[in-house]
This record gives sequence, C-alpha cells and structure tokens, in this order.
Amino acid sequence: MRTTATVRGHVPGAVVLIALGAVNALAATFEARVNATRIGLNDQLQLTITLADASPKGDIEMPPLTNLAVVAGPSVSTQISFVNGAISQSRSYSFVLRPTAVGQAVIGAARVELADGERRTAPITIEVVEGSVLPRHPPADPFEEMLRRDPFEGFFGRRAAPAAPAKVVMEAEASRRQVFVGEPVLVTFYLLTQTAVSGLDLAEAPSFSGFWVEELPSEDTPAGATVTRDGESFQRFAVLRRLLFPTRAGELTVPALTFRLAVPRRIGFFADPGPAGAGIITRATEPLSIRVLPIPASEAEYGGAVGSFRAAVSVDRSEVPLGEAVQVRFRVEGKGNLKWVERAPKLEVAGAKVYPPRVIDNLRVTPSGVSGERVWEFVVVPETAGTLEIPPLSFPYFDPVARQVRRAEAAAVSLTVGPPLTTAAGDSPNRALAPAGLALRADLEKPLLPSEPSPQLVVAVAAATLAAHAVLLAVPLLVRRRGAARSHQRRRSTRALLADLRRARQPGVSKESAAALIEQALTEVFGDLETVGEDADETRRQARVVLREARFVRYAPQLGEYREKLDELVDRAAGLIRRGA
Amino acid sequence: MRRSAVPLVVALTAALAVAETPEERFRAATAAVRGGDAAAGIRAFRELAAAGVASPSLYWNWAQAAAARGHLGEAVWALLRCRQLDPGDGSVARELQRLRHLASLSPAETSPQPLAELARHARRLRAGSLTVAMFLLSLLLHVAARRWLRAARWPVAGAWASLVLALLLAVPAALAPWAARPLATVVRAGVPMLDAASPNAGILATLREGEVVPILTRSGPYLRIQDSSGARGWALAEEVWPLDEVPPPSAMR
Repeated sequence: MRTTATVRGHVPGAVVLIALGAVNALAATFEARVNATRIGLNDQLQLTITLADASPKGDIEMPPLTNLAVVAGPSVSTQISFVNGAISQSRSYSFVLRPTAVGQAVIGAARVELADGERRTAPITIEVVEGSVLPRHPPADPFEEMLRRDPFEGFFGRRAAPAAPAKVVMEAEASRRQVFVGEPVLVTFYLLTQTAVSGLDLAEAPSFSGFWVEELPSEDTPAGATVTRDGESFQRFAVLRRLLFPTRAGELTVPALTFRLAVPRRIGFFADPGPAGAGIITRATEPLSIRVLPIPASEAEYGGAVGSFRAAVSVDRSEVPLGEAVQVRFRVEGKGNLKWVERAPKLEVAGAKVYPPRVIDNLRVTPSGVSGERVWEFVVVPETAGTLEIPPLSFPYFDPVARQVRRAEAAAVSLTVGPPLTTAAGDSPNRALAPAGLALRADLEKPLLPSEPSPQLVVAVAAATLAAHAVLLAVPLLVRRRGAARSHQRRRSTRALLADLRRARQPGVSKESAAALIEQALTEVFGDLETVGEDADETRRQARVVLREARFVRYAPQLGEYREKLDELVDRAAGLIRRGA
Repeated sequence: MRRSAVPLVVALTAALAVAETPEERFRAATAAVRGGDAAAGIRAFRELAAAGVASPSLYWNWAQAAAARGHLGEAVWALLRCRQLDPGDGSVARELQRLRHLASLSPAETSPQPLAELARHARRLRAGSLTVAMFLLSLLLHVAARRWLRAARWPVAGAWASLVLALLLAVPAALAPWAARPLATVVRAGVPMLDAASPNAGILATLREGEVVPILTRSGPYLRIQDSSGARGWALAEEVWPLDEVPPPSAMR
C-alpha cells in the first residue's frame, strides 16, 4: 500500500522531468496575441505573449507600448502537454492594458534570445475609439477558472470542452415576513453550492439592529437538500440560524451577511485537504425585510410579554407556625418572549411581610421560539396567626394569534398560620404567661465585670511594662560600661601616664615628642585645660601653666638645648598628676 | 381566668408607666412579663437598655420574655448580651443550649468565630485584669531585684515568670477581641440574605432564626454578613441584631 502511494505520488514529477528533457526537440514558437484589435477608451485590453517549446537564454524583452499603459501583469502560466508521445511546453505572460487616448495604439515586438537565435513577435496595431466597444462581462470570479479547470486536462492529449464553472451562493430566508413586536422570526442562512466547500465563516460579526437575537445551535453536520435556482441544481445546507425578536414596529431589515468560504482547488485523490489546498471566496446574502406590526395595547397593559402563557401559584406548605417563612412560587409557562419580562408580578399579602422574589428561569430556545417557564419565588413571613390568603395572581401578555391582550390567571391559595412552635404562652396581653415557666430575675444587677480593662488598655500596659523592663535592663549595663571605662582611664593616669612622663626624660627623645607626652598626660588627667577659668583650683591652674610651657617648648625653634627645661616640666607635671589623681 | 387576667395586665401596664428609677422600671417590666404582657415588658427592657442600663438580669429577663413569645432569635440575642455582661454565668450557657435545641441549631451556628469564643472565655476568666496585674508584678519584681533585693535570685525569676505569663494572657485578653469580628443574631425566621443592600435586591438564601453571624460591614440599614455555610450577603439590621447594639423601636415586634 505504501509502495503504491509513493509511485502514484511520483507520477506528475516524472512527467515534468521527461517534458523538460524533450522540449528542445520541438520547433519553438514565440507570439503575441490580444483579445481585440478595436477597443474603446474605457475598455481594457488583454495581451498574451507565449513562448512554446523553447528555453530562453535570458529574460523575455517586453514589447514597447504606444498609447497604452499597463494596468496589471505580467501573470505567468506554464503548460506542459503530452500528445502521442511528444511533449510540449509553453509559458505565457499576460498583461492587462489600458488605452491612454483615442486613436491608434501599437504593441511593439517582444524579443527573446533562444539557443538557435533571436525571436521577435509581430507588432500589433490597435484602434482606440471613444467610450467602450468590448462586451461587458460580470466581474471575474478568481475561482471561476479554478473551479472549471480539470486537473488532468492536458494529459494524454485530453482536451475536453471547458465545463461550466461550479457556483456557490449564500441565501437568507425568514420564517415570516410580518410579525408583531416581540414575536420571533427564524432567519436561516443557507449555503447553495455545486462544488465541495471545505470551510465557512462569517466575514464580519452580524449586527441585527432592531432585533433581540437568540442564537440557535448549529448542526455539526448539516443535512443537504437539492434545490433548483434559475434552472440549476444546488445542494443547500443551513449554516446559520438566528431567532430574531423585533423590538420596535416598522419595516426592519435583516442585513446582508458576508461569508468567507474555503473551496478546494482540486477535488479527488490528489486534493490537498489543508488550507494551502483551498482558495477563499466571499459570498453575501441578500438583505431581508421584515414588517413589524405594533402591538395594539400599551406596554403597561401586557407587561412586554408576547406569546401564549399559563400561570400557577404554589406554596411549599399550607400550614406554617407563626414566625416562620413560606415560599410562594408564581410560575409562568408557555412559549414567547419570557426573557424580556423583567417586571415581577406584584404580590401583597395582608398580615404578612413579602420579600422581593428570586427569579428562576428554565427556558429553551428552539427554532419555533423561546419556550419554558419562569418562576418568581417570594418569601412570605406571616405576621399574624390565622388564615392567610395569597391573592390570585395574573400575568398579562399579548397573544399575537388572537391579536389581543390576555391574562394568565393563577388561583388564590390559603395558608393556615398556627401558633409559634416554642411558645409557652402567646404574646397577647390577654393570654397570661405561666409564671412557673419563666425564670425571671427580680433585681437589676450591675455588671459583674465593670472594671475589666479594655484590650487597648491591656496593650498599653504591656507596651509600657516592656519599655520599663528594657530601661531597667539597659541602665545598669550602661552605668557599668561607663564605670569600667572611667576606672580604666584612671589607672592609666596614675601609672601609665607617669611612665609616659618618665619616657619623656630618656635621651634621644626629641623635644617635640617629650612635650607631646607631657601635654597628653596633663590633658588626660585634667581635661581641657584651656577652658579652665581663674576660679579653678590651684592644681588645675598650675597644670595649665605647665601645659602652656610644654607647648612653647614643643613649637619653639631648635635654637638651643631644651633638655633641662623639659626635665623641669616633667617633674612639675608628675607632681600635678599625682595631686590630681 | 381570662376575666381575672385583664385587670391584672392593665394594672401592671399602669405601674410600668409611672415607674421612675431604672430599678423601678425594671421591676415593673418584670412584673408585666410575669403577669402575661411580655410585649410591654420587652418594650420597657429595650428602653432601659437604650438608656444605658447594662445589667445581666435585664437581658436575662428580656430573653425569657422573648422565648415565651416564641421569638427564639430575639431570646438568643438577649442571652448573648447577658453573657457579654456576665461571662461566668452558667445559667446563661444552659439557657442558650436549651434555645439552641429548640431552634435546631448546631453549636457552630451560635458560635461562628473561635476567636470570639476565646475572647469570651478570657473575659470570663478576667484575663485582662490578670494580664495587667502580671505586667505590673513583673515590673515590681524587676525593680526590687535591682534596688532592694540584689542578693536574692527569686525576684529576678519571679519577674521573668510573671512577664511571660502576662504576655501569654495578653493574647486572649487583647488580641482576640481585636481580631474577632462583631456578631449579630438572626431574630426572625426566614430572614432573606440579599445579594445587595437594596430593597430590590434578589434573595440568595434564607437565614435561620437564632443563627449567630459575623458582621463583615455595614451599609445604612443593611449588614453584610456571612452565614454558617460561608455564604455572604446582606440582611436588614432590623432582622439581624448586632450584639453590641440595642435594637431600635422599629425592629421590635
């Protein structure tokens, strides 16, 4: 099976290869043709230049044009044929030309270089007249040729007469052309085709102005029916259905819908099922006109409902204890535009509280309209014991068949409201309570926990306590650390600083270093001596004098020996430090 | 029997009208309930509560009167108010349990929030006062350990222990009441839970009388609540009474 498919797949390729090898054996032709030699100024001219059974050395040189302009082209087509064992090949270049003025137009000679020499086409003279003289054709369908073409045309000398192009059209059909406002119209969009269609979708979203639109589910595999249009047979498929409810009176239009259709280029064994194997064409339906009659009543009378309906009222129980709720269901069933009806029926029950209803829909959209039921579920809480009557409820609607407003009536429903389930005694002053059943307290007690602190107070106390704990923990640590630092400083003053002063006496120590040691020792013991006032004690004032003399020696020029002076300052500073410590 | 009851009720109602002090009005209202006019008694209880009288016995009697009228939701609400004022009263817990059985409510439907329960128990145990006391004790012991009892080790240990205890108690005493949402009680049967705070709103479900629900937010006369199934919706505050408010006269039946 696999082998067979491979051979088949290679057949066209083999034919092409054979053809390419054999073309040089035939006589080459090079010619130019036009579809008319007399055209109007408003016409277009088709020029076709064909090179057959030859392989050009280079490009074909296009003919010079006089009084003509190129509108489109060139479009190139190649054809290979196999006739009685002989293979021929041709390549055509097509142009669409437009005359530029009335008079004579000339298509010059086209030129091509072949293996056996140069070939030229004969010039063509065209007469251009006013207006249009060529017969008018409908706009060419790009797929007309495609649909008409036989894929095996040209093989084995088969040249059948051109078949008529397969047609594809779209139609819209309305179930009724005259309805009342709110009555449904089924609009079906059909595909009519004479060929296979591999895909279909809407070119743009439809807009049905003036209609309430309900979608109907489309069939997965639409059944086709054979129909005849203008004497031609088509297969017809319903591809889109919409149920339209006119929202206003007058002449309403269902607009034209444009569809995109995918049409396979080839049909049969060699057809490519993918998108590449299909061409896209567009088809539009004709607009439909619908005459919408106004409803001969005000909307207040019929509530917006159009159709045919029945109504019923039910309750979830017929007996209820006082204080408990009853569910009252008002059910409207039938066929029509129930989806439009937003207004709930008004329910008032004497001796009971009625809450706004809950709406429950069970509606189906069918080709004949919307059918099903809508239920308004009221919660009714009786406020008095006894018999409670749910009044008759009605649902007004417009009946388009009878052409009048009707009312679907639901009968009244009676409820029995009994005493409360747990009542030891009633709440009426006339019905005495059983004193033994009530454990009443005699005194107005004060709250037992008047002073219980608020959460805010508890949080505030917690924060304050934690902060106080933190302070209590931190202060001794700080004090201890500061005390330790101070005692360390004192020890250095009394011992190490005197040692520093002794070091200042040693030979080899410069006057600057010795003076600095004295200055540092005094400062560490007495602090900043420059700020010492005259009212300070004698020791600090003497220390300041020593400090200044030490600075003098430190910064004095080295003009003599300062050792004696430094020794004297060291002695005086040591004495002061001992006293200060 | 009925003939004899009518003059009695008239007399009690008259006594209720002339009572002056809160105590007198309370006694008159209690007498009205005992005499059979529960509605008049409840009206007087409500007026006393609205005037700022916060007494467990007031709400207890209110609950008794409401239960006697068959208004179980209102009775549950009044008992919960009573329990707020006297969390340690065992009779309130028993009465609540009785009403819950009558209303066929599960414990979860009357205690929707574990945090609120924790806060209530903390209040019953006076955890707030204990917390404050423990904090102050820890501080006192700390100061003593620093100042006067430096040699002894027990003040330090006592300060730490009381501080840890205070912090543990602070969770139910302070954090639970903050974290818990306010509660409300459904006081009528079949109260609809609405999908919006509007008179024209649709009904999502119906609430059970006596059910206690947390209040999520409030909009005018409507409360946004969450029922025991987790559904959220709106209900009229006249039908779902918040526990921290006295209902307005219009909410009374």
